[in-house]
Amino acid sequence: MTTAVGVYMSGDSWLYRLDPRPKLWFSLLGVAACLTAPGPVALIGVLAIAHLVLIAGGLPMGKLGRLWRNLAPLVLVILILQPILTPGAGAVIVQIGPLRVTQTGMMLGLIYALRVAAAAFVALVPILTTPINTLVRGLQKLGLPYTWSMTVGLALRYLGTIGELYTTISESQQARGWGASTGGLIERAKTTVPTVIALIIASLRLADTLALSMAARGFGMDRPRAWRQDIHMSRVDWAAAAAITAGFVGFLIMTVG
Amino acid sequence: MKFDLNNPRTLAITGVMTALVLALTRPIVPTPVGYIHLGDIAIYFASFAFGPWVGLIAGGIGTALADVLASYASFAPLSFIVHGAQGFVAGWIAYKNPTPARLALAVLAGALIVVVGYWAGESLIPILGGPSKAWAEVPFNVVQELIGTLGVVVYVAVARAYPRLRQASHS
Repeated sequence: MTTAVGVYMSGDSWLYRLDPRPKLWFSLLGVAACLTAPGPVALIGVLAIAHLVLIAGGLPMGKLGRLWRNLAPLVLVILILQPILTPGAGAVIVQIGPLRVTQTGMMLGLIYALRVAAAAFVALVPILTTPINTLVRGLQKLGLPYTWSMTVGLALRYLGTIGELYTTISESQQARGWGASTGGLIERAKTTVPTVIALIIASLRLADTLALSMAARGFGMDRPRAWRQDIHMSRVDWAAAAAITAGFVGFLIMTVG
Repeated sequence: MKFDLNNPRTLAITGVMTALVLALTRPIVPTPVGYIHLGDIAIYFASFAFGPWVGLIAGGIGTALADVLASYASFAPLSFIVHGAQGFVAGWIAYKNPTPARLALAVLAGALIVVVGYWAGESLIPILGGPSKAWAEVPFNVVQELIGTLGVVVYVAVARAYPRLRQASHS
């Protein structure tokens, strides 16, 4: 089972210490900037800002490299297919039979590819640099119902546990001669079914234990919820939120207005 | 299962099913436009075993989080809508009365929602790659949904191997 690339790794820098709300605000406005950016230069600007924030915030370069490796196939496909399938008008650069590549098509492909890449990096900033419980609390303070933010938190928390369960079950089945990594696509999917069945049963048992421990801690009682560690917007957090907003307004003035 | 997220049992099952979808929405075979994964199997299982609302949340949040974690963030809102609808409709059709015909219908409806939903979303929203990528992805989504049909096999097998499932899902 592949490990998720975009998961939180502990660190200690201004970016890690920032309240999750300015970081989520950065992601929201960053994605909005990607949608409104009219051309490749503006998108390269958004991509560069996301990289600057992550590097200045102490994210290891190796992690950035892995994110790019994950994203590369998608970016390449858009760069190659977009000019071929939607050539549009304009000067023809290459023509092979009915297929033609134009300058307009290539520019459109570049814009789509840069949009996808820039949106991926700005969206990952809060997830890569915020512990799960703090992120959940931030989502709740932004208005997401507690139970929904708790579901997000549980999913992120148990991703690792279920990933480990999958590996353990898969390895023990392989030790008994059940190979799951050879053959064609359908064959591989079929041989994975017994592993998935065992994984689901193990997950149901996990849910039972989790429900018991949540009930034991009084979850669902009609009383105000208390927090051992709450989050608060400091002056630095407000300043960061203001700077992000000002940056976005400046971006809009420069690119759209 | 009466759906009330303030009930610890419901929340625990919804959270773990979401984590299961998230964990299985990982690449088993990379394709030119994304990757083939087993997430649909988990979405169908959650919908058949625990109903449309668990299917909606596990399918929507699980796949959206998987997109964000795998650097496909711009697809997360579309995945939330498409796979959320897939889980809800599958559960709505087959949860209360999971006969073979209803399970087959649920998978067929779910597959249609995914293939048409991704095609429409990617065609209409430029940030997702545009019409060229939308068309290029159709055959891979069809293969993806063929693999998703294994969700029926998994559901039936788990219901047989773990009799407490029926009791848990209808308590």
